[in-house]
Amino acid sequence: MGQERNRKSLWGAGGIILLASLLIFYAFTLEQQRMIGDEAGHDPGSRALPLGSGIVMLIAGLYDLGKQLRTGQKPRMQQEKVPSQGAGQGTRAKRMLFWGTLFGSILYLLLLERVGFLILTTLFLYFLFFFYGREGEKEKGEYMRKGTEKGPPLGSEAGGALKSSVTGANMIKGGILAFVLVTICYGVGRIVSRELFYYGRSVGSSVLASRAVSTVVFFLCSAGVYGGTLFLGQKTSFWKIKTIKWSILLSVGTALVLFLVFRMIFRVALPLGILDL
Amino acid sequence: MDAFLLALGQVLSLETILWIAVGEVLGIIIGALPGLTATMGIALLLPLSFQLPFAPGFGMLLAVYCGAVSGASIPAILIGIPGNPNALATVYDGTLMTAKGQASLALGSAVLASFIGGILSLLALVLFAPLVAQFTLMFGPAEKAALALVGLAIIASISGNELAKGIATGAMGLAIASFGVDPFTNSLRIPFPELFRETPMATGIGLIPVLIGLYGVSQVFADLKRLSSPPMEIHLQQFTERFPSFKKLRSMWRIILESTGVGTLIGAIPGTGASIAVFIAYDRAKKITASGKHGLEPVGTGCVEGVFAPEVANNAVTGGALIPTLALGIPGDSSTAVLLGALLIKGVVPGYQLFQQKMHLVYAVFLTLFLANLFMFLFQLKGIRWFARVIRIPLSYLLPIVLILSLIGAYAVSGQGFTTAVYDTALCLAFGLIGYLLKKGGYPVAPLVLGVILGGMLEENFRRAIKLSQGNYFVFFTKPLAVVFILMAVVSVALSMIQKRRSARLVKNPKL
Repeated sequence: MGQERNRKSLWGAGGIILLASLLIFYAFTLEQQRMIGDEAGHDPGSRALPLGSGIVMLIAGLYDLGKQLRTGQKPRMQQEKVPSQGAGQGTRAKRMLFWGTLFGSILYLLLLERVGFLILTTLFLYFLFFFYGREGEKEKGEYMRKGTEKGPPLGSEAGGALKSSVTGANMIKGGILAFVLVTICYGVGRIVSRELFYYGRSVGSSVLASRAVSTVVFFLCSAGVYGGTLFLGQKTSFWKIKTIKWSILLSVGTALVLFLVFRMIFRVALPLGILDL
Repeated sequence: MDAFLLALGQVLSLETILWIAVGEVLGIIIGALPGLTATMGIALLLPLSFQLPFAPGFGMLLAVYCGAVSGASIPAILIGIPGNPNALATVYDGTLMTAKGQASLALGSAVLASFIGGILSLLALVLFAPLVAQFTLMFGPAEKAALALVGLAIIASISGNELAKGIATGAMGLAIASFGVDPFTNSLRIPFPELFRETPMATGIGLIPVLIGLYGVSQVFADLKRLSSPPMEIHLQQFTERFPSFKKLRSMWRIILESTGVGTLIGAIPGTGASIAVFIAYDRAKKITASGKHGLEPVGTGCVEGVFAPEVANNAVTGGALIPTLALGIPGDSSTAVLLGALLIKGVVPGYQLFQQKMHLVYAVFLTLFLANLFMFLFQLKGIRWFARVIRIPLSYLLPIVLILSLIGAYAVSGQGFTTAVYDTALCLAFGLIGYLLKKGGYPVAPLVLGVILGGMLEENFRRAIKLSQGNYFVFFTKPLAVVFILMAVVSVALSMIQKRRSARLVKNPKL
């Protein structure tokens, strides 16, 4: 009675063999170059490392394939050995999250220069927080369905209201709100800090015209707008949709902090895109 | 003396102290969050350290390392889930102590033990690193190539469950390291060089995007399946009695010394790490306390001794792992592999020359490690209630932040060039996907990282050795030290094969 062969193991070994073969082929296409002054040809040349590593990979891959075919062992997931906290099986929703994250990241890279770091990061994070948060809330949704102390059963009015509030339309509204909030935070911070800078230059004050003061002023103005929105938002019913509220706040907050640290403090050339006025 | 004073001046600046403090807080938080590792934390903060001068930048990374190793004890004790594998052995007695209402004593003991282990291993680092570095004077190209091979062989044999997979990923790392430019002739080694000659691909594959991708982005993909895990319930108790009595500490002298020795030694062996050291230390402590004499309680019954031993050991690894990293350029574990990457990126080449010509940098490392341990002790002690709350942060909030930090971190490496920055970010994403697929397929990632780091050293010295010996490929067997290193590699691989076969037989027939 043989053990059921695990396709993943075979695919893995096959993938390694394929990669190794491509690597060996690629190594042979490289122009063999030797060190300067090596007329006798003692230097193994520039092919040595790629070819050598390809051969080792191939041998290891073939050995692994042979072992899988003999024993049919399943791979043990190479996570660091932290005891499971209820790690779930792969579900359709998790798979969609994976592909969504991957394609979202690729889109993020492609649009970064055009749209700009602040806006694109805010929107990217908003949708990540929203969809991840919704997936995370499913456990609580289970509690609600059972009608435990976590909340009323879904059939009740309160449960129905909660279920219906996290809709596509509200998600889009939240995205627009995040976009508007980050634009205003940046706009206010930029205008005030720039005016202060020009004022400092006009009166000959090196302190007011310094980068450190500009950064602090930018931070304070953005934080002020952010805090004001947090306070005023309490008065709206939209803010009561927890998933959307936290998605907006976390995405805008994170984007602004990263902008502050990387662009304003460390002068990394993060593109402004649409906000480049 | 001048070098020491120069280093002291750099380290005792406000900038350095501030960044070490920031790194410490972040490290403890990362350590306290199950699923986030010290290696990932260091990888994510690499781009930030890149923008800072050496002392504050590297000091911050060391602080993250110390904090994360120590912070893992918080969830291990409170909820029985270690923040990372370094605290696995702390779970047993830690949770028993919490059940007895002694959580604050357990947490305080863990912090004190971490501090003691960290400081004692720092002493070992100060004493032994220069000696080991001096030993490298005897190394020629053949010895250096063989040493790189040893590092790769050990980590391939220890990482993961299957040796062949470790070797395959190690070789993959070497192949990645060869991508770009030949170190001797500057000829391009990229696919379709006519097409990509003028693109950032011609510069090869940068270390930072690889590290961030493999440890940051891949972890995000891997953790997606844990999103709907139930939130962890933590009952925060009154934190009253925090430390064991002085009498108790004195009675544990043997446990402290042995655990420090185990941690430092295991850390100093390339490729191993704290997850091995903690179990050896715990086991040793069990034997020492079995009789119940000298005022010691038996380990495994929910006692301070059971928390002290693994926590001393895991922080003792931090100093031990830096010995081969600084002296030989071979990392002691995966976290120091990333730290080694940080050194190389800063242009600090480990080895004898570092100790001869840039001793002020070595002193800076020693001093920042001391400060990191001190801050770890103070912050974790004072902020224990706050750090404990961190465990409640839902994964759905953490993962997007880790992802964006990874992407922007990789982007920030190149600083000003947009095309290169996007290339680096794309690499980070690609390696995130590769890392995720490797983990899913049961392939260890650590050998790949080491292959990327050591590939250059291996190739340069291998080719030099062959050329200097006039084409004699057996030169590695004519140099005694090289033979010793090759034997170490062979023994490591052989032992690993024997151990794995034995484990497989035990699984099939538990009666053996």
